[in-house]
Amino acid sequence: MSSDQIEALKEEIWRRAREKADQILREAEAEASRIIKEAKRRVEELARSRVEPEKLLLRRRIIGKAISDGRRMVIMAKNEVVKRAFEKAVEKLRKEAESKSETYVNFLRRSLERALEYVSGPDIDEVVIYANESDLNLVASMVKDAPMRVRLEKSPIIGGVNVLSADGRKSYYSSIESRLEALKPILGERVANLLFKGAEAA
Amino acid sequence: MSIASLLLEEKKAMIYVEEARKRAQEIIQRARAEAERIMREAAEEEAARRELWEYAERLKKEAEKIMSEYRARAEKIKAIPDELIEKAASLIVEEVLSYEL
Repeated sequence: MSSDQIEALKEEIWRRAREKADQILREAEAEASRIIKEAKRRVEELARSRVEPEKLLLRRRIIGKAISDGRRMVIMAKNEVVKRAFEKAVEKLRKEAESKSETYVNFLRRSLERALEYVSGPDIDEVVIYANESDLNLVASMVKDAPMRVRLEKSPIIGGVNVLSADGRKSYYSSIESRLEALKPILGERVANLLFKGAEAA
Repeated sequence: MSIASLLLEEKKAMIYVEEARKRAQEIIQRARAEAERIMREAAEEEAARRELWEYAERLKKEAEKIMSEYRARAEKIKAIPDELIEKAASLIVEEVLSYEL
């Protein structure tokens, strides 16, 4: 065997050895990477099974509270604005009553009619009408033909009347304050629709 | 050069491959040790607590953002124009005095 042949054989021996070693190391790296990846996957799985339920509770508590507080804040703001509208309405009603506008006088007449119709009866011979002092003369002129005895009393109401049978068995509240209070739920809703229409619901 | 020298080279090459095998074993052992460390840390209560604490901190920031959005909405509602309040008040007056309701 010539020395060239021997040299070629040596080269071949080393080429194969390097190739083998590289393959062994590549496979080891791949296996190491698989081992680490598997560990991370198991950790994630463990975390999901153990921590995730607690995370869900935390989310419900913290985010749920923020949403609920926020909604309350918006509702309170709306209530505040509706309250302002009612306060403004009371001012306007007071002006209407004080000026004895046609609308107010009509209202007063209808209030009286309804109240007397409700309170009157065969066993009722006297009624007491409570009205604002400035309305007493008006009321007196409106009830001069009433089929029962009428006693007028001044009352610190804005306007309208409250009527009671003298024996106290029947009563009808038709003052501005009573009507405002009675209509508040319906009016509150209508006012809110007017004020916040187009706005996102809280 | 002789056959003997070839045999010697063959032996050296085998040792070289053997060393590669040892390095490969070390690589795999290091990976196993790292995997165990990862698993051990995950199993610790402290790690879970830390993760939950970090999550809660993120949620608090998210909650603050939600609140500031609602706050802005509430401010916008409160800043409603006076004309609209006036219109609503007129509606109330009309209904109270009209006996329609």
